[in-house]
Order: sequence, then C-alpha cells, then structure tokens
Amino acid sequence: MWISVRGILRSPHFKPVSIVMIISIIMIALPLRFKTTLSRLVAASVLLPFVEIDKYLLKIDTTFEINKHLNRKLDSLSVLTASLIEHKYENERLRRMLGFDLNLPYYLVPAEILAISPTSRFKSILVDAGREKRVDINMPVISPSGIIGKTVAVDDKASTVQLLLDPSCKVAARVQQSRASGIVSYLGGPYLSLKNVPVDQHVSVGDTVISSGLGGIFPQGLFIGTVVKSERREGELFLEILIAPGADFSILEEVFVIVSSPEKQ
Amino acid sequence: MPYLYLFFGWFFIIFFQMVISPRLAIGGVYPDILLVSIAFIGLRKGWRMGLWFGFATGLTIGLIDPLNLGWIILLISLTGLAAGIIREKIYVESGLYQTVMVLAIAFVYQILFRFVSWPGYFLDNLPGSISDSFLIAVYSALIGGLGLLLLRQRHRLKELL
Repeated sequence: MWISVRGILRSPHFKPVSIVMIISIIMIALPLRFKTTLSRLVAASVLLPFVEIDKYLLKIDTTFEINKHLNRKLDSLSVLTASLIEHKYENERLRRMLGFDLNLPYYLVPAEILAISPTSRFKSILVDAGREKRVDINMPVISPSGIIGKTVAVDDKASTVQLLLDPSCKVAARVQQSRASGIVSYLGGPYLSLKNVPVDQHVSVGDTVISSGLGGIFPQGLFIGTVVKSERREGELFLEILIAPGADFSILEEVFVIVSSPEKQ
Repeated sequence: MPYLYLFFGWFFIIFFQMVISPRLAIGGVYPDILLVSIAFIGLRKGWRMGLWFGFATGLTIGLIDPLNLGWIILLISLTGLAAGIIREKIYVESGLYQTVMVLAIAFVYQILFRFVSWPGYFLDNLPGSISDSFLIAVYSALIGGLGLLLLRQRHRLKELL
C-alpha cells in the first residue's frame, strides 16, 4: 500500500494533476453569485469577440426568416388587436363589477444575453440584469414566445438564468383547454414533458400548456408550449405528455425577467 | 511549441466551440468541438499538453457556464490527461484509431459530465442519457475525424486548389 502511494507521489502526473484538481475544487466550491460575477467579467472582456461574432451571425441567420414571419403575424395581429381592445374594455368592466384587482403584482425587466453556455447545450445563459434592476434569484425569465427559465444566481449587473432545458428546472403547469395540472420538466432532445397528469384527464395534441402559478415562482398564465404527444399507457397512473416549447432556445437574443412589484409585496 | 501556436490553438478551439458548434446542430445534437480538440491534442502531443491545454480552454469556456464551472475544468483537463496517457501506453499512428479513441473518450466524458451536472435526471433517465451521450460523442468524433483528415490532406488540397 505504502509503495503504491509512494509510486503515485513520484509519478510525473501527480503534481500537475493535483494543481488542476485543487483549482477545480475551489471553482466548484465558489458561491454561485461570485461565479456569476466572474462570468460577467469574462463575457465582457476575454470572450467579447466570440460573443459578438456569435450574436452577429445569429442576426444574419434569423433576420430573413423572422422578417417574413413577423410580416405575416402583423397582418393577422392587426385584425385580432381590434377585437381584443373591445374584449379588454369589456373584461375590465366585468372585473370591476366582480371586485378583481387589475394591477399586476409584477413588471418586466428587459435583459440582453451576455453569454450562452457552450458546453451544456443551452442549459444556462448569462443576462445583463442584476440587483441594480431589482432582479433576484428565483425570478421567472420569459421571451415573447414563452417561458425561458428562472434566475439562479444574481450579482449587481448580471444574472445566471437556468433554462427550461436544464433537467432541474421545473414549472407547475396547466393545460389551457382541459385545465389538467402537472409539472413541466425537460425530457431530452427538443422536448419538455408534462408529468403527474392523471390518466382520466383529457389532453390532446395541439393543446396549449401554460404556467399554473402553483409552484410559487412562475405567475399563472405564462405560455410554455404546445402538446405534441399525449398517450395513455396501460397500467400507468399518469399520461405521457410531450410538449414542444414555445421559445426557441437557439435564437434567444433578448429576454424579460419578471420582477415582483415592491408595492404589491 | 511556440507560444503563438498555443494562443492560436486556444483561440480557434474557443471560436469553434462558441460560434461554429451550435450551427452544426442536427436534431438538437451538437458536436463538442472543445472536447474532441483536447482529446486529439492529448493523443498527438502527450499528456502534459493535453492536461494544460484542457485546463486553459476548460477554464475559459467554464467561466461562462457558472452552474458547471469547476466540473468543466476538471473533466476537460482529465480528458486531455487520459488521452495523453493512452498515447503513451497504446499509441497507433492511424487516423481511424485516433478517431475511435476520441469517440470512446468523448462518450465517457459526456456520461461523467451529465452525471455530475444533473445526477437525479441522469439516474432517472439512464437509457436516454446514455443514448444522448453516445450521439454527441459519435457526432463530435466524426467532426474531429473529418478535421484530422482535412489537416492530413492539406497539401493535396492545396495542390487541387
């Protein structure tokens, strides 16, 4: 035993490997807030050219498609807006009659993406909104096309956002049509799954999945995605539901952090 | 090796990992160019170069992934070291052999990375995690093998052009 330990100590690999291991362990043990600050500084200095090239190429990749898509959407939305304005006034009037409070308990803080994790397949991003903009940990992050994730570490100027594609990010959700509730989490590939929905619930392909507000982090009604598969398996208590997320995580540019309104707390 | 070469090596690996890799995605599977580069460096230049190059690039890339910082440095450095030790013990001067070795190293790395990053998810979805790791390893090794082939045939390519 002694000989083998001495052999290890005398091995040419011992010293460099020990240095690497000690530094790695220190990095693992650092508080997440400190790591976020480090990330922000690195993304804004050493890696800035790479981040900027990536953003520029992303813009070129997507501009044409987005433009076409937006033009189509604009046409249909102008028609829809006219009818929605009417519904809004009607809704406000009816809510007042029922005694509901219309002021939302939160507001949106826009944030630009500083860096996307290149090693863990878009599981986390760094955004330029931190404590200075009242952002704190466990705040929902959304894009116009749906929920993106939540903040897990915050420093003064930046936050680390854990994306929905991270298996440890879970959202309490509801199917808009049938009101069936469950938990959304990452399944693998491009899909999310809606778990814990009993087999007696009716969920169809094409149904919309929104946040239910039960988890305490995400307010209710935020769009998550669309059901692409709903299956009853023999002997199983819950449905197997696959969701295509509304947000396209590969073309994220700007996101919004949902910040609780202080006067409402 | 002159320091300028080392700098360019570092620059290109980071560039390929951050800018090119996401654009080579097929069905959500991205080639891990950083990983295959370090494995090839270890296999061709030895454990010392593999370890320190892995450390430098792992630190740079790891710093923009705060959730996994530390693990990335450790695993990428050990990947370079392992590839270097393989070179010392069972080195064969063949592109195919090196590509197969890179595939094996990439597969082990992916499994370990998933396990340390999301242990619960990894154990709950063991078959899915293993198949995802294998797909990424295969794709990464293919891209790496293609790069190696182009590198070896660069003189012929020059003549053709």
